[in-house]
Amino acid sequence: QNPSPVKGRVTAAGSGLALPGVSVKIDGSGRGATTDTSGRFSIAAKPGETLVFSYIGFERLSFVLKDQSNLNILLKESSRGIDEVVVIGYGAVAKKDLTGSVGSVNMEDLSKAPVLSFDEALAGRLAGVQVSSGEGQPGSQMNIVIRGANSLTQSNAPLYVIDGFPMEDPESASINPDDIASIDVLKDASATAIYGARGANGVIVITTKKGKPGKPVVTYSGSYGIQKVLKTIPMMNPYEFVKYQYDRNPDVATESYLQNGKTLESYKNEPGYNWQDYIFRTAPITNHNLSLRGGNAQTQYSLSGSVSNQEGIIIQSGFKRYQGRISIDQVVTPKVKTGVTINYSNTTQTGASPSANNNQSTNYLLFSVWGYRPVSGAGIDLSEDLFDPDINDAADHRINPVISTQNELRLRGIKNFTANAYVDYNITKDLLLKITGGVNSQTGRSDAFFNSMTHKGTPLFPTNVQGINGSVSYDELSTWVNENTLSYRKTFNKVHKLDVVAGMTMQAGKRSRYGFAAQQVPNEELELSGLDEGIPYQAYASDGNYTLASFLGRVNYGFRSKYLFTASLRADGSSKFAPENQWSYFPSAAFAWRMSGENFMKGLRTVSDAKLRISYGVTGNNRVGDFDYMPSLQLPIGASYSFNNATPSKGVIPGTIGNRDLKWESTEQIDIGYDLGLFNNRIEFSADVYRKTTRDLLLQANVPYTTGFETVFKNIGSVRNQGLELTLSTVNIDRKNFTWSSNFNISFNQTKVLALAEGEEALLTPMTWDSGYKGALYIARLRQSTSLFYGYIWDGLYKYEDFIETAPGQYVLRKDVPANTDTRDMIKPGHNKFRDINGDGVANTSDMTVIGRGLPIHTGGFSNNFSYKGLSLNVFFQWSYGNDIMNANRLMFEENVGNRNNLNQYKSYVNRWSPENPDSDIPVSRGQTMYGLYSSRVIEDGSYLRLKTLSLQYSLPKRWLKPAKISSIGLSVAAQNLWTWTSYSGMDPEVSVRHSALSSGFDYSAYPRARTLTFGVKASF
Amino acid sequence: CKKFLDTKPKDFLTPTAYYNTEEQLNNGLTAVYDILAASELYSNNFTSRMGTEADLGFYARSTFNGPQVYTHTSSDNLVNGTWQKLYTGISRANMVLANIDKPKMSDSARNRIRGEALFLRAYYYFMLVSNWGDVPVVLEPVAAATGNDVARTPAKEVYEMIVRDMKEAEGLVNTITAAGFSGRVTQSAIRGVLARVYLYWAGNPLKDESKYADAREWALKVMESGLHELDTSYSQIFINYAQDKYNIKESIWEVEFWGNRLGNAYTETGWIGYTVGIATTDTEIGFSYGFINATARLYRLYEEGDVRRDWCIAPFKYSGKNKVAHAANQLYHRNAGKWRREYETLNPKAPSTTPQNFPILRYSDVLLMFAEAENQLHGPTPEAYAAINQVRKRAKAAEFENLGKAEFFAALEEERSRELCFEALRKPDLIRWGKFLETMENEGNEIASEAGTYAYATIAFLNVSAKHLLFPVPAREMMLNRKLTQNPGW
Repeated sequence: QNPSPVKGRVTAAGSGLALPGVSVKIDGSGRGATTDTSGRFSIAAKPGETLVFSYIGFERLSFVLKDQSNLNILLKESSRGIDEVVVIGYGAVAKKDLTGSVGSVNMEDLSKAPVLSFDEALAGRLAGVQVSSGEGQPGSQMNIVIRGANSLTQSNAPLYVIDGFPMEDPESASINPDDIASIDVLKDASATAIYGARGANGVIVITTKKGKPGKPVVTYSGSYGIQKVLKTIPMMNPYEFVKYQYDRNPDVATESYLQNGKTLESYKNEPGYNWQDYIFRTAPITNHNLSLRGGNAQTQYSLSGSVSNQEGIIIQSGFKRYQGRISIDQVVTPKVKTGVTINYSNTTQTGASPSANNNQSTNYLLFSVWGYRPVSGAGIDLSEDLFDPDINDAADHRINPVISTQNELRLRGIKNFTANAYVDYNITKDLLLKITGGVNSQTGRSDAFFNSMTHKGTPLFPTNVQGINGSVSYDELSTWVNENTLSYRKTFNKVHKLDVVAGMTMQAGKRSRYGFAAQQVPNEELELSGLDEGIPYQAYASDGNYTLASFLGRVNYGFRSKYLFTASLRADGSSKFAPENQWSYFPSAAFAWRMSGENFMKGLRTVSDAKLRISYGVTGNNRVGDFDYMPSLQLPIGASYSFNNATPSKGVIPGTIGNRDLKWESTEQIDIGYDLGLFNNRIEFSADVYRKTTRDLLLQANVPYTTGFETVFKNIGSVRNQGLELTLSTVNIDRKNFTWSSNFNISFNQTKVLALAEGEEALLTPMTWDSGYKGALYIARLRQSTSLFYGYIWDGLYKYEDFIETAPGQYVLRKDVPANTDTRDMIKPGHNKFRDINGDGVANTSDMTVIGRGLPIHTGGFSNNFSYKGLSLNVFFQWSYGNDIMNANRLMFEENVGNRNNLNQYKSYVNRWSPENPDSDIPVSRGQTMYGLYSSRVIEDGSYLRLKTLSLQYSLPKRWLKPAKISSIGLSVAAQNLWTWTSYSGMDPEVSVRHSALSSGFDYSAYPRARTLTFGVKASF
Repeated sequence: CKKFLDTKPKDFLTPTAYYNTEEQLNNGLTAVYDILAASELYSNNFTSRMGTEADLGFYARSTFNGPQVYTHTSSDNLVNGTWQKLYTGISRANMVLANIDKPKMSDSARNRIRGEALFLRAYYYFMLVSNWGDVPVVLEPVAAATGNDVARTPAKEVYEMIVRDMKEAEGLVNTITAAGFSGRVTQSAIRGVLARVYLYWAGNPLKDESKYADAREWALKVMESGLHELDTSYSQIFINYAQDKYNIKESIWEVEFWGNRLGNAYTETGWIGYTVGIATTDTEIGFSYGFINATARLYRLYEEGDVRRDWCIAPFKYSGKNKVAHAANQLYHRNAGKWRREYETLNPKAPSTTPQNFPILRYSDVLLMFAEAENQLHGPTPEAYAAINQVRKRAKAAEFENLGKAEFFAALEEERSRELCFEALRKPDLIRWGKFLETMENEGNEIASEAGTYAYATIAFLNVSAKHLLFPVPAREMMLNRKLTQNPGW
């Protein structure tokens, strides 16, 4: 029988929209056709033959022809499965043909989290992607590290490729999560080497939503929610506070608190202030998205816009975003297609970070919040004045936190404009030329104004020499990129599939900052516009630029989709290095064996897919300053000197040594992975082991002071990251009305320092949060991990049995009991005891050791989706296990190391050591010199398991909507950070202020995270 | 492509494109001076934290760790910072000297810059060698990122280099009358400092007694120049520092601090009077911590009528704005009183910074150095008496006469304490005389027996051991420079 014409129409299941451009093939014959704009096709076929329909974004459908001549084909949108397309660098491949390790975020799940920026919801979604946020301030960026940190002193942020546009430091908040179609994370060298010099930290590929052929679809989604602080810390009440003051110094406390017949007991009736109640608030979060998407076979368009407003849970803080996006794709001729995407966003972050770098611990917001007195002795209402009259220590900068915060102006606005355009030219059916170009322009403006009622502006502070002051500064960042690729895809003899890409790219960027600050501003009511009346005291002016040129190539070869090979090579030239070191080459190779394609496995009906992957490659990192290879001179104002009482003359000083030998840091990675699909991929399991070795680290290496310098950029040192990643996706129940599917992932990563600067055994890193704590808090020692806490092992307190009572109340430390760092005569019962490791009778710097780990042993996530008729429930857990946190807040508020008068303490300090409470392990109320030393006393287990997202959605039945011409309405309620299981005593275990690869897990005055509950509606027309 | 990747910095200068004018060279020199005023040198460390007052004062805080109470280790931040700053100054001077011939300018101006840079570099090495012993010597700008391991040069060779450079500089710089103020390096400053360098060299640990002749000769050059004489009033010298006035006859070289950080962005203020001063929180008098109290031993060194006693040792404390006299027996309660903020004239007074200058070399020191060297060489000659008695006369103290050589030395030793206490000179004096350990132990015992509530200070003095004759080489340097060796006992 000869093939006879078969006609049909392909539409999308659900929406019923016609699908143009669907490929229709007769399996095993070479005959094929494509649907037209109304989804119609015609092809010659005979009964018994199999028609295969495939279309990107939809599940592949095979159909065995009987004797029909007119077919009505419904294609289902694909959500998972081996035919799913995964976006990789400079192309896309079917998941089954993938050789590298690439993780795809389930956008449907992610979109259920009530957040304004995608990175806030990324934690725990993918194995190997560790997202740690420093703190919970709205609009702050997250720290994303893929497969452990390679670099010790330089950025470990992945490269972002947004709609093909590579960016090293995008404003993630400028993208509306609602516009994101997919997020794919490239992890192993086979996947990242195509990005060469910038691929070593992994690559996050984001593709935004485009228009689809069909009727225009208008979608509105909106949500309103409230946020509350997860947890506050119980503080001492007036009675406990006054009792504590009395314990510290009976004379002073009597004078301050026990006058006019007042006794300690009378404070039991005082209500007192808990300043946390005034600084934290219940804050609303709203979000509106409106989009219009549609098109025909020639033109597809997508228009979308959003307005988001998140008030912070600390007064005066918040985040706002206005954002719009346009994308148009146009088929010009059958061979030429072009398109453009434009995104504009205007974001504003208000409020200062309470943990911002500051050298004096008493300047931080939460120091004042926790430390401000709950009650005064003289009956003064402390809430009315900026100052507490009883704090007159020049070194104590506590201030009424509420008044100061209300009067502060802090604003950081960013206007971000991105435009990308492309032209695709099909030179032949198999050969495609793609030319893309893009620009990104970002203008940031930071404003600060401190009037006389603020911490930094009040002239009443003896150290506030600037008086009323303010500053304005502009940051401008602009980048352009041009990429030209030629790709060739062809299948030979039906079994040899070849996919080759070659290209060249150019990119250039400029960054500048200009601004000024003025002090002694006379008219504070004018705020920023009054700065010109003040005295200028600082000007900001800086400028940088770089260029990058690259050539790239990749070959994918597949034999029967069974044996898959990938090889890639990229050459990068960067202006950040001296001309002789500008170019470097980054090769990779991978092999995958899809065992399920072999005959011996075909018999196993349970196994639907099985693949072994092996890859190896080298990637790079060039994250140094634009001109760090050059020596520089500087004229800082601090290098001035006054001669003959004249206005100081300016001094010029060597700024950097420069290092002409500077070159790329290179990371070699080997990855072995196994993917297994069972029961028609109802169970999908994936495992990867990897080892990454980074050499020639771009290290801001210490040099001897005898050079006149502290550090110089060198390619020195080596770090190894190795780990295991497991992912399990299952459809547990799949009934007509009820489904339950889940996704579980866990990753283990181990970081090890293999080499440091010449002769260096360890790299010590201090945390600059207080002028008294200048010593190292972190150590990265050879053959050990980075971010290890360094200090004294705390052995509890000295107890009476450690002393000889020479006279009543006179205690002398027994000879056989080692001293802490204090002189022996100073040590009294109730003081901290440190372990004398070397047994020389005194704990001193030679007894300092590793006292905790900043990095987790494993992290992961567990997501569950339940659906029953129109209801669907998403339950997402996320965890981190094995990491410690230095809770420096406790140094100030559960010990008062600075020995400050009238400083309120945590309620836990009520249980401190005293002669009446000699079993306590909380240090005595005063009298020791532990200021400046870190011990394991305040290091806590930072492990947690968090019910991160809980979301319930209800889709209204279609039959109700049809009369109103509405295609869908969904109602939802979602909660974020709903419940946390942890033993950490601070406000939030998800904390790491001033985070870096060398210093992870520090908590001092961090912006606490919010618990959010939102109600949302989504409708399509 | 090559052109595309060829980018130029616009944000900073490169050394090759700089030092083309006299002004640019002067900017380089200014930065060398800047180190003197750093917190790690005379603003703070040498004046209050490094224990330079030895037995004459004690750190008046009961709980503290660090070099002021001799509990520092080789990772101490202050010790580290001072070492770093001194080498930073040296590297800045190396940069100036390496580019000295680049600009077109007059020889006299070039010579002056060269002389000042050469001397300051040598002075920083002098501070290094007298506090650390053998030290690495770097005399060229460092240009390479690697290969910077430098071994220690024996102290004797460091001294040879210091005097060679200082002598050369002496012929290049201005006279103090030409300069007209005491903040610059002048011929008088170099001569006086050379006397000091030779005296240290003649004493412990090198003990090359042949250097007394050089010390005498250089001190004499200052005396015979006719440019210097003592101020008639002892207290006025220090009031001048507080008021930014110069008396170039008495005050030969001083560290210049400037301003109160109000109304301008300069940070050239210091901590003189703020850390060591008469304690008060009153910002009109001028906030002071009063970190250093005088010891009873210093108090007792003065005879009745010596005008210096009640200036160097505050006879009162502040209670609000009032001065309350200390009781006669309160000998340990008294703040070091040399640096008094009440005399500052720059208003308003900044609470935590001061404009007060600090003397590195005063003429009375030159006279006492001459007397010491003369006595060591020839015994108590009339010239030696003349020199020491000039100092005593000004102080309204009885003049010395009829002393044996050893007695003269003992008197001179005490005279230096009376005249120069709290000027960062006592500890090196004790070390070069070989008396540091014994003196500190005696002082510790004395405090233990009589200081009452201040007995806590005993510990600081008894902490002193032989290793404290030198500071430890910073642990960081030991790790990064494999050619370094550590000082004994550290």
